[in-house]
Amino acid sequence: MNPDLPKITRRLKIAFFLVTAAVLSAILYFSRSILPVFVISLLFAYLLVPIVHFFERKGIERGVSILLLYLLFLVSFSLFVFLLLPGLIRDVESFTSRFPEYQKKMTVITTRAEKAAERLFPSMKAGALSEKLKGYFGDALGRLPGILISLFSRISSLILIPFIVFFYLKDGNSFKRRLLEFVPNRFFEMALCISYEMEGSVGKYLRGQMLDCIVVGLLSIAGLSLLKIPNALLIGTIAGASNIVPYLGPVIGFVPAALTALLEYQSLMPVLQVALLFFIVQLLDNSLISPLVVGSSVNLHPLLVLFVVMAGGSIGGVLGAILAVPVTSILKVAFEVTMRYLNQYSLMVRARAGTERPTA
Amino acid sequence: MERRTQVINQFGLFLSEVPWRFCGTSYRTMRLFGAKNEKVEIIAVLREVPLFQDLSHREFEKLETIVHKRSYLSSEIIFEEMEPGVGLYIVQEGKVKITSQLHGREVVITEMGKGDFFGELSLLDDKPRSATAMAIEESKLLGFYRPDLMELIDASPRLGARILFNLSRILAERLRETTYTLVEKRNESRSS
Repeated sequence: MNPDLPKITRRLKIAFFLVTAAVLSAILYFSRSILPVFVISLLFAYLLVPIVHFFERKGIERGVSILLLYLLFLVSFSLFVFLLLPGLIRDVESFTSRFPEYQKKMTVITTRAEKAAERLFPSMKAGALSEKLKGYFGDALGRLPGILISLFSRISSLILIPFIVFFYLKDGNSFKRRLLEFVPNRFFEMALCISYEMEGSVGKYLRGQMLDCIVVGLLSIAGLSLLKIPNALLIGTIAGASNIVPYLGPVIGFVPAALTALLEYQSLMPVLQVALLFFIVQLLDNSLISPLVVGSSVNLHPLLVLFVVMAGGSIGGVLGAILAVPVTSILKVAFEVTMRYLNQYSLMVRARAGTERPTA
Repeated sequence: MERRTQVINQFGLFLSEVPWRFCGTSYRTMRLFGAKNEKVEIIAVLREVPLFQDLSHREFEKLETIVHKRSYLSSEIIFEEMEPGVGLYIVQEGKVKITSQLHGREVVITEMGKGDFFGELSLLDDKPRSATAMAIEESKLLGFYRPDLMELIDASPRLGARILFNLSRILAERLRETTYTLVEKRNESRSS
């Protein structure tokens, strides 16, 4: 800020800035229910920017490049619908049709386990466990449609996403330029560098994470099919998608697989095999795939992951829990980049205080 | 202004703004309709800069979306010596003074006016600025920065390569001048 500026003007400026910030945060707070759509669109835009750049490098105008990208997306989406979706629906259907049978098997398994437990601990009351489990099991099935409906009604604005992504891709740069125009001259170059670096790191993280999920999903599907676990496609897809949440994701993916194996074969051996499979996939993921495609820049502490997932869940339900880790990672990257630049600048300023002439 | 010209201007502005932008309304079309907006002004300034020599209309249009418009008050510092620098500035309006500290004294290196540019070395490396730039009157500058140039090279390599080539040509010219001056000075000191 210019020191020559009269004090009153500067105060007015600060007051104006504070009021604007307050109004903006109020608007954001009251419109928080629609924010996820914009956040998801932004994430998609980050994922897709390299493809637009690829077309642009061939000399195609940006607008046309985006249209081409949408065409490509439409084609791959139709392919997905025609090739994969029937399988997934079949899996869901077979799972629902098998559910009563599973429930019966579950009761058999729990009574057997109870008898064994009774022999070991005579003080335990017979039937208590199976009653409780039955309650949970029934509950879960009863709640499932509710959860699905709430998830879908939340994402009913999904239809908006392609439009928002389109404008992010087309005008994202000019949005960024408009925002940067508000930065005071003194900090402009630093702000520009930070914005670029942040964009690069966040985009890299998101694309890596996406690739990671796909690879884990494919590996899980292949492994589960080899182990002849029913509904391998559905369970593998869940395992891949849940992999976006570190530490907790693999567990979320493992539970349905283990349950299906247990109920299908009524013995512990397949469950152990599934556990081994998930262990191997995770080992591969953590030691090979993830370092290659995501990089180690966004390592979150397990405790932090637990906290943000629970906090996200309590703020925004299922969607909040899913978005919590990516959003936290993005914030972490942004914070680190900003701190590094601030350090660099203050170091330079300190160096200037000490020397009289640059070497360059 | 004549009524007809006004209408034409409005129409040109409309063309340059909403739907046609998407299809890439060219600088020429805007000129044809006499649209005198900021965009045309900026492109006119960019055309005068040797760094952007031999670019096509379309490339100038693209460039216009990349440069940043900054305004400075009189005696406001643009950048300071030893600060990390990331780009060059083109004077769109006003005057800028370039100074350097020599043995604790401020030495004026040069003054810049409309169409001049400075800070181009920062496009190439992230070494600290070698001089201080200050606006001596209210000025409008166009900033062209390294990250933008990098993205330009990534998105349209032809344009990026041309700008880099022009930059190299300018630097080569300056290096030749420096060598010439150095040789002259050495000869002078030998003969004296």
